[in-house]
Amino acid sequence: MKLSYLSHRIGAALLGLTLGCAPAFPHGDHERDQPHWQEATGWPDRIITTLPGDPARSFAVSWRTNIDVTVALAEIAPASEVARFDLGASTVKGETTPLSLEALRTADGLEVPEIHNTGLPTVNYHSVTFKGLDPDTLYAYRVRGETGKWSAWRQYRTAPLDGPISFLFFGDAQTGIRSHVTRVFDTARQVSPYARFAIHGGDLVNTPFYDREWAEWFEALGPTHYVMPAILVAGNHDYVNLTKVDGEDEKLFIADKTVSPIWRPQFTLPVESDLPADLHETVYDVRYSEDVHVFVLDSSGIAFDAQLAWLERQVMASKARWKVLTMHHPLYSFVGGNEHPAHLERRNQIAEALEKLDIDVVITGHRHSYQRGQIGDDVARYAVGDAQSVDTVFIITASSTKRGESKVDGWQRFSDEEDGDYVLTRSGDNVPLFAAFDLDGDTLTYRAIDALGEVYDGFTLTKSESGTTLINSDEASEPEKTYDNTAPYIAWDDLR
Amino acid sequence: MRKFLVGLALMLSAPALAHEDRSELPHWQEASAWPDRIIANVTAEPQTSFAATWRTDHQVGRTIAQIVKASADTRFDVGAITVQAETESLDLERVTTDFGNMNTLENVGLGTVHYHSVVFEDLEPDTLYAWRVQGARGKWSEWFQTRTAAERGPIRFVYFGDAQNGIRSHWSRVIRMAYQTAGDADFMLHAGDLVQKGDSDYNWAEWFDAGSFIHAVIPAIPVPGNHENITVYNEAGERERVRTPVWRAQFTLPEEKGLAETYWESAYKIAYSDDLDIFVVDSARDDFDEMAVWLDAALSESTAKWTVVTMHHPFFVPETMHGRGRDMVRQKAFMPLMKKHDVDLVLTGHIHTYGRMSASETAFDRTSRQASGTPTDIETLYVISAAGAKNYPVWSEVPDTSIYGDGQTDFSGLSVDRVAENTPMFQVIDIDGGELRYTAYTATGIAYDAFRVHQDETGHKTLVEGEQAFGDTRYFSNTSEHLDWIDLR
Repeated sequence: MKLSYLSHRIGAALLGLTLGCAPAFPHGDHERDQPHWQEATGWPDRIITTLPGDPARSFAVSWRTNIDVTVALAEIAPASEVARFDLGASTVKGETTPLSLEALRTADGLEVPEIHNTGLPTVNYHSVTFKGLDPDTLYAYRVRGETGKWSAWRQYRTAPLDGPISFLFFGDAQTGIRSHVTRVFDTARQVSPYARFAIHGGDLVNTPFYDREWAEWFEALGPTHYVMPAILVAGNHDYVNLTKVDGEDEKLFIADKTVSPIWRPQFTLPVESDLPADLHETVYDVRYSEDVHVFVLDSSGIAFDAQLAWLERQVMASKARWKVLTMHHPLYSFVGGNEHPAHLERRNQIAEALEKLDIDVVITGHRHSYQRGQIGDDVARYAVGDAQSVDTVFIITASSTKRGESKVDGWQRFSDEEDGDYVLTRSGDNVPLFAAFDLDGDTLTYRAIDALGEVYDGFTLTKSESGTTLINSDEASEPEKTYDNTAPYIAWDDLR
Repeated sequence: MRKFLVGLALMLSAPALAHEDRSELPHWQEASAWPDRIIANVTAEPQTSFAATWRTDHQVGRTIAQIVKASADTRFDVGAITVQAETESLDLERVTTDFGNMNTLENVGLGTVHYHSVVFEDLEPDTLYAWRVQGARGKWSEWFQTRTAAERGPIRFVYFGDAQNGIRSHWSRVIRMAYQTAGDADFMLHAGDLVQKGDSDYNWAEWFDAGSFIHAVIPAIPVPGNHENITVYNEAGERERVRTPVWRAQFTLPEEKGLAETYWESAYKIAYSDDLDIFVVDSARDDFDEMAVWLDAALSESTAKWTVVTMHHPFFVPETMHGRGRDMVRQKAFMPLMKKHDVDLVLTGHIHTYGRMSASETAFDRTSRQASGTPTDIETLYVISAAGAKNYPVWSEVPDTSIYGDGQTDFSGLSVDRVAENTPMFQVIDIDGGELRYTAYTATGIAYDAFRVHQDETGHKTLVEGEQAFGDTRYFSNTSEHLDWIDLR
C-alpha cells in the first residue's frame, strides 16, 4: 500500500485520507463545476431503498438534498390500478443527517480535509422507514425535498413470507461506474426484471469519500433501487484510511480507518447493537423470507472474531431454507504476490467457522475476475451434468472496468485431507458479470450473466434430506474467457 | 431533427443566460454542458440504423457521438467510431415558425438551448450496439445498449396512450412498469399528447425524467397529438395551430419526401421488418387530404405480414365527445383505408380512457365469441388507450355502435370488446410469424385485456380472446376516487 498524499496539518500530527491503490487525482477547481447529476439541490436525489427491518412488513428509503431541506417527509399508499392511486396516501416523517463533504470528522474531533470534495457544500441525507406494511404487496411511495419538490411516485413490492423469488448480486462497480457499469445494471434489470433485491459486494466506488464517484454510482443504477432494495457490503475501497506521520522520522503509517463518512447517512441498514459501533450498518443480516437469509460480514472492518461469533449465532438460529453469506474479500482466490497475511488469517478463520455452519453460497468480490468453485465430498472440475454433493459454493465476480486475473492454483492449494476439497469449477477474465439467483423451494438456480445478457456460468443446487447436490449448466463447460481470447484490455483510468 | 445547422451568427446572438431565473430550475430540467434528454428513435430503415437526439445548453456547439458493436469484454468501447452530430438551436422563449411567432410564457427566462442529433447508419440487423453522446468536450453520457431491428422474426413493442398529465409524478410508474414487463421490447410507441403543453420546457423535462434511460435504450416512435400543437400569430394577427418546434428539435424521425415539409417527422412510414410495417399519421390537423393520398399509396405498397397504423385521434369517440366536425372529416379520410388495405391494428389515444374495438365482415359480439371459444374472423382492431393521470368516462353502459359515424360510413360489424375507466394502461404487442399477441396492462402490472390474432398464408385473420378480456369491467363507479390532475407536479 502506497500512501499517496498528505493533506492537512492538525496540531503535531499530519493526517490524510488514503485508500488502497487509489491514484491521486489531480482534480482541482473544476470539481466545483458539478454535473447536474452530482449537485445537491432542493429536489430529492440519490434515492435508494433498503431493508433495516422485516422485509415483509417494512422498508426504508434514503435520499439526499441540499442543506436547506431540513425535514424528511415521505408518502406511501398501496399501489392500485386507478389513475389517482395517490389519494389517501399517508405521510411519514423521517430523520435528517447533515454531512460535511469537505472534511472528515474523526471520533477525536479532528477534521481531515477530503481534497476530492473541495468546494462542495454540506448536504443533508434523509431517511424514513415505512412500517406496518402487508407482505408481498405493491406500494407506491415518494419522498420530498423542499415544499412541493417531490420525487416521482415509485412502486415497491414488499417481501413475500415464502415462495419463489429471484435476487441479484453485483461485484465491485468501482471504476468506469457511470460510463461502463451502467450497462451491467441495465442488462440485469432486463434479464431479471422481477428480482426482489440486489446485493452489492463492496468496492462500490474507487475513492470512498469522493462525492463524484457516489454520484456516478447512483446515476449508473438509475431506478434500480427505487423498486428493489439494496443489500450493501463494505469493501476496502469503501473504507477511508487515516494516515499519520510519526513526529520523529516523518514516517507515514495508518493510524485508523473508518467506513466512508457517506456510508451511514446514505444507506439505512440494519444495526446490530451487540457489535461494536464501528461495525454498525456494515455487519448485519437480512432474513428476506422463509426461503432466503443473507448474512453480511465486513471483511475490511475491525473485530473479526466478534463478527464471526455473531455470524455463528445468527446462522445457527436461522430457519431459512437457503443461507447466503456475502462479504467483500473472497476466501480462496489469491492473485499472485498479493497474499496479505491478514487475508490468509481471515480466510482460515472463516473456513473454520463455515465447517460448523450450514451456508449454501458465499459470494464476494475484490478480485475483479470471475471464479466459482465449491467444497464438498466428491467435487470435480468440469463435471457437467453429473450431480455432485456439495457443502458450500463460492463465487467471486465484479462489474467494473478494473480487471484482475484468475489464478487457478489459488484454490487447489487449500485442498487437503483435513479441510476437504476446494475445487475451482469456472473462471473468466476480462468479462464483467453479475449473478442472478432464482429460488424455488428446494431448488436454487444460479446464472452468471455478462453485459449482453448471455449466460457465462450456471448451476442448480437441490436440497434433500441427504444433503445438497449441484449440477452444472451447459454453459459451465464452454471455453473460458481469458485475456488471450477476448478483446484487448486497457486500464480504466480515462473513463468518466 | 430539422436540417439546418447552427451558424456562428446564431451562436453569437444567443441571449445571455438569465442566471437568477435558471437557478430555480429543477436539476432535471436545466440544460448544461452535459448531454441530457437523450432519446433513441426508430428510423425509416431500422434494420441498419437508428437515431439519437440529445440536448445541451447553448454553449455546446459542434459535438459528437460514438458507437461500437456491443461485446461482453470489459473495454467493449475500444474501437468505437465517432459520428459528427448535427446541431440545432432552439429559442424556448420566442417560438418562431413558418406561419408566425409566439412568446412562450411557460419558458420565460429559459433562453436558447441546443439539440444535437446523429443517425447511426450502416449497422447490422438484429445486433446490439453500444453508443454514447457528448455535450461539451469530455462530458459524455453513459454507454447505452440498443438493438437494431431484425430482417424478420419475432418483434415485441410497447404502446402508450397519452402521458400528458402528472407526467413525472404519475406516468413514470406506467413507463417503468412497462419496462419491467417488457424490458426486451424492440421499440416503444407513444400515441400522441406526450405532454399537456407542447411548448412547455418543464413538461418535456418531466417526460424525459419519467422515462430517463428507457428513452435511450429502447428506440421510440413518437406520434404527434393535438397537445403538441401551439398557437402562433402572423404579422397580420391571424392565428394558426402549428406543431411545436420542439418536436423536430428533440426527435429525429423519418422525413416522408412525398409529403409537404410540414408533415416531415409527423407522418411517416417505418418498414420495421418483413413482418411489420408501421404508418404514423398526424391526426392533429385540419386538412387530411394529402396524408390520406400518401397513406393509401403507402399501404398499397406494403408487403409486410402485419400492418399497424397509429395516430393520436381515434375514429370512434364516446357519446359525450361525439359529433365534432373535424372528427367526422378525419374518419372519412382514413377509416375507409383501414378496410381497403386490411390494416391489422390501429393504435390511438386522445380520449383518456381505454377501449378496444374490432371490425369484421361477419357480425358478432364478444359474448358469442366467449361462448364459442373458437376463433372468429376479424379484419381490423382499433385500440384507444391512456397512460396519464387524466381520465374520462367511456361510452354509455352498453355501447351502441350506431352513435359512430355520420350516416355515410358503414359501421356494421363493429364491436366494442373491452373498455375501462380510471385506469392508466400500457400495451405489449408481440408479433411472431402468423401470430399477433396483444396484452393491455395496468400500472401495477396486471393484465386487463388480451387477445391473439392468427393470420394464415392468404392473409385471412381470426381472433381468439384472452381470458383477461372477460374480467370485471373497471368503471369510475367501481374503482376508487378520481380527482383532477391539475395539481400534479
